[in-house]
Amino acid sequence: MIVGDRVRQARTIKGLTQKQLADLVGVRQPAVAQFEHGSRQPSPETLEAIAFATAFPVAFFSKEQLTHFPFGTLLFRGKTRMSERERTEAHELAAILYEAIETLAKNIKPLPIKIPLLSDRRPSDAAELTRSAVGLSPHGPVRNLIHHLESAGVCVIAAPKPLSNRDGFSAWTSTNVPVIALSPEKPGDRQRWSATHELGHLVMHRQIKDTTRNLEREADAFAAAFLMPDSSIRPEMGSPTTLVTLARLKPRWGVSIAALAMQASRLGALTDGQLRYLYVQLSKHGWRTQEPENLAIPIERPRAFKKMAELLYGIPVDVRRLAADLALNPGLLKDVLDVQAEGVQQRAKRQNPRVLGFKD
Amino acid sequence: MHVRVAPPPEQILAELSSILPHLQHSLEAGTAKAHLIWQQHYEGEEMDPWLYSNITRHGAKKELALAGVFADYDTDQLPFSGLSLHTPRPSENGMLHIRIWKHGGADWSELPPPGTSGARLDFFSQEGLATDGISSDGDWNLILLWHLNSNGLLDSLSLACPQGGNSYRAQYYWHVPVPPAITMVPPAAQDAPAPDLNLVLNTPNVSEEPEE
Repeated sequence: MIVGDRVRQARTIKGLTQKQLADLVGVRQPAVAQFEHGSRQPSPETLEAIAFATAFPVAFFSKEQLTHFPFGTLLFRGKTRMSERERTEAHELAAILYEAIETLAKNIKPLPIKIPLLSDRRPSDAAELTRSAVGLSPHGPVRNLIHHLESAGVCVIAAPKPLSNRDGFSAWTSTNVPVIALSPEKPGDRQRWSATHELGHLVMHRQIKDTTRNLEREADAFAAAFLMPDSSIRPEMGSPTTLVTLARLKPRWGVSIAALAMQASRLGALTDGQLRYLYVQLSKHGWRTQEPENLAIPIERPRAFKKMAELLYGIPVDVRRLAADLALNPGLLKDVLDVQAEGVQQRAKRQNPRVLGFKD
Repeated sequence: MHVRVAPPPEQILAELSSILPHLQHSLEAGTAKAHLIWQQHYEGEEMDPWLYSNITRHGAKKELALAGVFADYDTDQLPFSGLSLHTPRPSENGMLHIRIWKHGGADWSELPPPGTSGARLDFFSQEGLATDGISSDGDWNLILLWHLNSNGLLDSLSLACPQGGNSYRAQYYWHVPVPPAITMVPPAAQDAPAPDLNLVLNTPNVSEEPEE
């Protein structure tokens, strides 16, 4: 007996329409609609064909869904437009990965969720309280942001492929777990900003009380205050603040020059005219979209999924057994593991490969 | 006659890579200051390019001093309302004598002509190099020009190695744009790696231990 939603999930992640899947498996489109609705069961041969076409194992289609994984901030109006299909595709990919994490987490002692719920606070106050709640000092840059989020009980999902055109999104699951899903291979400063922006949504916007445009503004203000607390960054901005000043601050604070310029303007270190000038300079060299290579911030990767897999399936992870237990494609899981952080020991081993010596 | 061969611009830019970000920052700060003063005190008036340049160089000199770079007003022999600084060459014997002036022409590649001043002609023809009376083959005179945008703020810098000239025209070995200073800012130092996430099993392992 298959679960209809699984057919829809697999088809969506593969980027297929019902008609395209129907053509691939040799049935008519209404049949696929009925499979997904649960009003009709496919024959074993058709199920095999669906599994083949979507690159999911047959066992996946009979797996019950565990937790309701909401769309969360995917429903917010982002900076870029997103079609319904793109939204669903991003959501289903994150939902599958979350489910994999949730399955493994049943065997792991849970980390307490330390992020607060602060719906009535100003973004800057919420950011300050959240820094404190996750064990960060009120001053200075945030190092290893993703590690701090995971240690505070936030489930951070690194998607192995882009979440359509979104840098990331977040949601509270029906079992009260805060989740942040991030697209891969964005510049490190942009990824850190996205993760903190989504943290702002988790902390301040569990209940939606405003237009999404305002909520987005609040989340940006939260990210700015969390990553660049006013009292610590203002003295470092100097006077006058120039492009070179901001470029020197970028590696230390791990945020983009554009974000530093906005913060400098907000703190009165730049006039509107100077801010415009800086933006013109950035645009002139194409740095609004991609800041100079020498100032690249390393990408941070989450660790939890790989760590759990290592605890349960050894080092290196036995992907075949993991895939069998999770009823997922080993290729997909390998891609997911590849975008996860390594443990301290593996990292040291990779950086200092063992030198074979002569026997005494 | 001893013929001198100018070092290539890439070499000189590399030799100046530690000082150029300070120069760009100081000129950006200087022009921003001049712009602000002009807005506050002379709004609506026609810009006085000499006053504007002098405020800029005053601001730039102060910023350079804060960064530990000593530049002097360029008033001794070359009254171009600029700055001058002298820096030892890191890879060769000799000094680089840099005059920092505002670019005045409409054409980007145009250099201000040396005119009739003997001191200026000497500077353009790579004579009269030494500040201490001793010059070497590694000494070179350079001109750093700051280009303004239409709002009177710093647009870019260019560097030239002059070769000579006359009242109307400057000659130079080369004249190149200076790469934006932010491309020369050193990359981020590697953060100390995060400790491993503190996750432990809470139930007996559901799978067998992997084979050794």
